[in-house]
Amino acid sequence: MKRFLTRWYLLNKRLLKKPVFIMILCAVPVLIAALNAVTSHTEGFVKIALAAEDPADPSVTRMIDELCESSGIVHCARCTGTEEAEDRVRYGEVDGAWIFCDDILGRIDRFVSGDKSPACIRIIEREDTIALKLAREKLAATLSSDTSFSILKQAYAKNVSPNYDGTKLRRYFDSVINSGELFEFRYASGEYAGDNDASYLMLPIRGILAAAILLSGFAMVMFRVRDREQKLFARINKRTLPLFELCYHLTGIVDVALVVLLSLYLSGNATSPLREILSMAIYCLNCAGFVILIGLILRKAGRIAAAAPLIIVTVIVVNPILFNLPFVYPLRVITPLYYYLQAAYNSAYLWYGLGYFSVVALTDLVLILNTDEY
Amino acid sequence: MNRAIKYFRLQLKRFFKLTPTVIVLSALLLGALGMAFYGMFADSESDEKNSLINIGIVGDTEDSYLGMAINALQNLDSSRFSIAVETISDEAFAAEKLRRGELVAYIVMPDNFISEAISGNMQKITCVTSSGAADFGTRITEELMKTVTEIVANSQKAVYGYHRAALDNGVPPDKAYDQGNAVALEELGAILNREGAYEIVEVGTSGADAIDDPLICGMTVLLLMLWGITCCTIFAARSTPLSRVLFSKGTGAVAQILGEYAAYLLFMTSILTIPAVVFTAAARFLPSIPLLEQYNFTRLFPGIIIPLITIAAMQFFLYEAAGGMVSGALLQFFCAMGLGYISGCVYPAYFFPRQVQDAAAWLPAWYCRLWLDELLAGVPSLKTFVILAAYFFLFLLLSVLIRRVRIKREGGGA
Repeated sequence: MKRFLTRWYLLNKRLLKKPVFIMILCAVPVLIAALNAVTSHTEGFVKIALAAEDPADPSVTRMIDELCESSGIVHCARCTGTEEAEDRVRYGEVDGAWIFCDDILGRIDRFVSGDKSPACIRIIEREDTIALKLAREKLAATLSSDTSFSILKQAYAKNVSPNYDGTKLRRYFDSVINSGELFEFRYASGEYAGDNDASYLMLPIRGILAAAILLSGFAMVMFRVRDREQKLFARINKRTLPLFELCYHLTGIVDVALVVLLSLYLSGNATSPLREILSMAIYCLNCAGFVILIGLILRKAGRIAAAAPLIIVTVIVVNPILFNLPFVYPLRVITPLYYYLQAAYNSAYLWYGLGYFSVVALTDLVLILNTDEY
Repeated sequence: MNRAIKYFRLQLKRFFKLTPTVIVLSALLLGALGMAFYGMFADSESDEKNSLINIGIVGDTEDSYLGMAINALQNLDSSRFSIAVETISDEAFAAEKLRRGELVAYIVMPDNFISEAISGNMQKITCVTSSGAADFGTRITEELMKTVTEIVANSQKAVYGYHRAALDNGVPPDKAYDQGNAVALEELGAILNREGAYEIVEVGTSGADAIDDPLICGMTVLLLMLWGITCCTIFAARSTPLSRVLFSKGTGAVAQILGEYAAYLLFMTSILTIPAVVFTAAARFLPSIPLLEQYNFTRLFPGIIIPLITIAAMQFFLYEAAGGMVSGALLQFFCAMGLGYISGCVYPAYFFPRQVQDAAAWLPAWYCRLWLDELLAGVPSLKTFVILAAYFFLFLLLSVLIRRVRIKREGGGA
């Protein structure tokens, strides 16, 4: 064990004596923490200006307050007047403006009774994008209370009595107590999804940092190719060579992996400590196996260097880090990143990750034992 | 001068040794990515196909109410332009589609959900999302479900509130129940017709405002920044003793840096011709794809040279500062991803808080993306060009200074 640790230390020393390498390892968690601190107050990426034709209308004030106080992807900001809201759209400061028309409750009553004009809300947009269409669902939810109450009122007036006490009807409406959230979020494994409080801007961090670990693996492969050309470690017994190759590549990978683990906790994306450690350990093994295989196929440092960014870009694109492309599943499963990302919330992928390692390690073993260069 | 030119030619040879490998790998990568994006964007017959979110519904759609509701969602509701709803009979198949990324989420409807709901028994609906996906689609789905919860809750209040009010005011129970059903149908009608409550006025965009434009320009900048990792072995193999010898023979740090940089820039520019040829050929020979029709890539590619010059200078400086292969590769990656991310190369800049946007507006990646945005809009700006040029000179100057310090520290030259 002592000899193993000594050799691990010596292999690591080459990396750790480079000030820039240490600087990068220290800077990454600091930058992630800073980004998390700034984006924790993210305002949402769809920006809407709110205004009222009749600012004194208490119903409109209530609706605008509700929209401004809600959090999420849609960020609403109150404007002093309708002209200001329209100008903010024209000058590109906001994506759209929702202008609540006067006598909003009366308009809602007319809308419910089938009279489509005049509109309840005037919406000013630069372009009717999908994001703005979805943002209008939030508006619909805000209006739904008054719309539903209007339906109740009109049904009562039609079926029971046209002379009704609005306050009493409101009490009937409010007396219905709902059973909380209608939807329960789960993952495919059956595990409860829970509330994800992390800013949406921090969501890709896990995948990006994991790609950095893979890149460090490629760097270790290039180091190894150079060492082999200089006949360093030429006297390693062929029987222990596969294990040596694995440990060699793991030195740089583990250094970066430890920093990534810390960064994940600072980013607010971490799950339970045991799961994080297990999934990271398996991911490190998978990365080592994967880069060793690429090294065995490409053989030259120049080719590996040329392939590395392209493979990294491919891995980032085909895995659901920044986008979730639907047609790349076969490419996804051959990357070690896939199992790591899935294992964060699905324990079954810890086992699948080990299975991936077995396949890759076996392939590496066969190639190493049958390659003359070794 | 002759020695400087010879040095430049030597560097050029070293870089271009990588060309065959890079060409083959670039072709493979572009081919794989192209197939994926072709699959996404090729069929553009209607906006309905390019939905932002694909959601599956698993349940007994023989239930007349559920079937009616799903039919309404698929064909009548305004959300069909942003959400595609697909009915799936088997949950295992839905899970498979979720795993493959063909669905953002699927909903498992309890048996007899709607008829139970009408009777006052509101069962919980399970929404299953992917454990590995961390994209906006998942977050948007979660927010949408909360919105739907609020709408359904208010509808419930109207239906049961009416029912209670009717019963308390002498309406016979069976009649109150029928009238409650009618209220439920009114609610459904109001929900499906909710866009009718709005008057939508589009005032139009100015220049490259649509969300697609920054994405293409940003991705191009990000790819160029990441491409710098390709040359990490060449940069790592640079020899300070050689630099010292050249310095002592009259080829100073400036000439060395310019020779190496020029060779690197020529190499990167030649590699760019590969995607230029691929995109031009795709635009000409493939069936119409809106992405290729919308943007004139043959006009874009010459313009990419300007930000490439700055990006190459930045990469050169990073390699000079790192001094080693592992550090160099990692520094390139983190700078590329970090700068690219906050400069709006991945997600549009306005996704970020104002402080981040203000800070990012000082960064070279921001101006590289901005230049391409302006180019696509047909309004390239002198100010952006000047700032890119300033960054170019800054990076080269810093590289020269680092090289001089390195040479002098190793004991060479005057």
